[in-house]
Amino acid sequence: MSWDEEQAGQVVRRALTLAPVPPTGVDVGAVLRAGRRAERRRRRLTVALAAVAVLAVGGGSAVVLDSVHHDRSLPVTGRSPEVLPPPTVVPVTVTLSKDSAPCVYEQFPVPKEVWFPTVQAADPTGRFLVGTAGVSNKATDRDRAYLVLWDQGDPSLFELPKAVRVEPIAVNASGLVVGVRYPGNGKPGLPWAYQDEKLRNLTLPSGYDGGQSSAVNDRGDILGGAYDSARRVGVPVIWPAGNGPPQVLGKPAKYRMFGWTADGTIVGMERDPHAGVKAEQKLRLWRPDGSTAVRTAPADWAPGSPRGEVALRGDWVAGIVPGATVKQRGRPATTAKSPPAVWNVRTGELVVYQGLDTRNHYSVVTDPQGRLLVGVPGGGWRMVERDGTARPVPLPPNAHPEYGPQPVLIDDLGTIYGAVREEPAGQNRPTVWRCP
Amino acid sequence: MRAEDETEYVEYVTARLPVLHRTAYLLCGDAHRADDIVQTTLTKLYRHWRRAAGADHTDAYVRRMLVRTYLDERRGGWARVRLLSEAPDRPAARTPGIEEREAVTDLLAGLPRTQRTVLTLRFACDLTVEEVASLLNCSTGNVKSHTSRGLAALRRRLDLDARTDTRAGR
Repeated sequence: MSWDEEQAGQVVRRALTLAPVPPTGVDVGAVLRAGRRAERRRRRLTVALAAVAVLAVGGGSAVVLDSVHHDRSLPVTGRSPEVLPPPTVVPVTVTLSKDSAPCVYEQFPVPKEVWFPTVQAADPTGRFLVGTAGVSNKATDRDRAYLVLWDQGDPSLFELPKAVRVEPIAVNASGLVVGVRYPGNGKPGLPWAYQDEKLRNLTLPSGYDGGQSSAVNDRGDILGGAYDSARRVGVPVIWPAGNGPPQVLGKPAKYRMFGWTADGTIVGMERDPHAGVKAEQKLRLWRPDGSTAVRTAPADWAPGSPRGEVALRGDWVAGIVPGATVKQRGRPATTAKSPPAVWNVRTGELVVYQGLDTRNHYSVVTDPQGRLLVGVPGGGWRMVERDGTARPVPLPPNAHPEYGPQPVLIDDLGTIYGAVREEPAGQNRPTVWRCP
Repeated sequence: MRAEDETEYVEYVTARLPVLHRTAYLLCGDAHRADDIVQTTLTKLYRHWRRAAGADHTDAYVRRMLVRTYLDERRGGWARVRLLSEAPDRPAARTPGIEEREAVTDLLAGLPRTQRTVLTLRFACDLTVEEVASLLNCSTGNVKSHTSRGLAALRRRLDLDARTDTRAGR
């Protein structure tokens, strides 16, 4: 009988790799709040001054994340913005269908040298998918981050500069990828653009030390924001196609930029930087003719998508109506229902789909017609028609019940682009669902 | 923590949570304890995020924190509060695959904690002997010894004799 430890190790390695692992019950938002509480306790033990500073960070995770995402700014126009009527809420009762949506999925290859690639953006024509992946160098035990670009399903890799995190945000039909990277050490993110194996940093307007790109249009204009970390305010910025200098749209405030509507209107949300986290938010529209408009945002609605960014498709922005956190024995424990809701930025109509619960996850993607793809934690994803009919999206048999799929975009024809996390290996695989 | 740091932290944690949970589960063999370990690790990580983010290898830094948390947790008891994404009274579904999970859990369950830790780090986290030794603050000889004993203990459970014989072409 032979006893080869090396080979036995390989058998154990394979067994452990294939070992099914139950889904985690850890909630990132809850961990964040616990981290803040721990930080507060630590500071209280040190100096009272530090404790005062910590109080400024109190509150829910959504509040802090919100403040980060809203660091964009006001438009500069010669005319006062047109004030549009407040939003109208249209409740739609969801009818759950047992029949799956008529979608056929196709999975793209993953380069064999990468592990756990993400898929974070797709262009509206579906030609390009983009994500990131780590490639490990066993000799140096260093992971390097790579941009992964699938062109009609064929992947290619591009090594990214060293950073704590590098995030592609959007890609257009020409393969121009825009994103943000975080250099670490508390420094703010920096916007970048990639095309044809060349990555360039986007020039920041004078006086700003950080920024982020949020969207890119077919022409190659990049929309985003610049950020002044000292004053904690930002401005909306357009980086024109052709590498022109950045154009600042307005005065410093707090903004979250969404993108362009079909007619070229720029859309973002604005909040008074001095009014605190409970300040009323306003939708800002920068129209192609130079006029601007403002509309009060629904007080109990929050925009967002599974990747954290806001996907504007047609005139629709996906989001949820967050459920209130209920405290049990002094701790946040449960939440009320948090239905998905899409807002039409042109008409002001807010469609709330009652009967689905996102459990406060921003698991909503919209298509240009306002149709939704909604993730129900632990229950897969549903395609929700405008009339409220919800059908499950068919998944590959090895899809993780909690984490897959991970849609990023629905194109004009209803094709879904994203990824599926596969059991038991935990590998992410780019996946396209064609839904005629 | 500054808002930018917190954004980085949230993004990192969101991306790495499945991997950390998997490692913790393989280390301890219990989903709820794995959640506790991950939660404690991530709470500590919040405090030390800037240092972790500035490290040459953030993943390795966090993995070290996770393993230290696992090794330390038995000293502190299990009176910690779990931060779950939903109410704790939700019934745990007993899925058809639960027998398989238990089989995998059983695979490592009977091993002494050190052997289990070493095998998980060596073969699930794919660390070298030297890396495991550094992580556990012990000698490489110690790691080799625990690896050898752990594999020997698994010899019958995994039918390693037959498998290694087959792979050897016998």
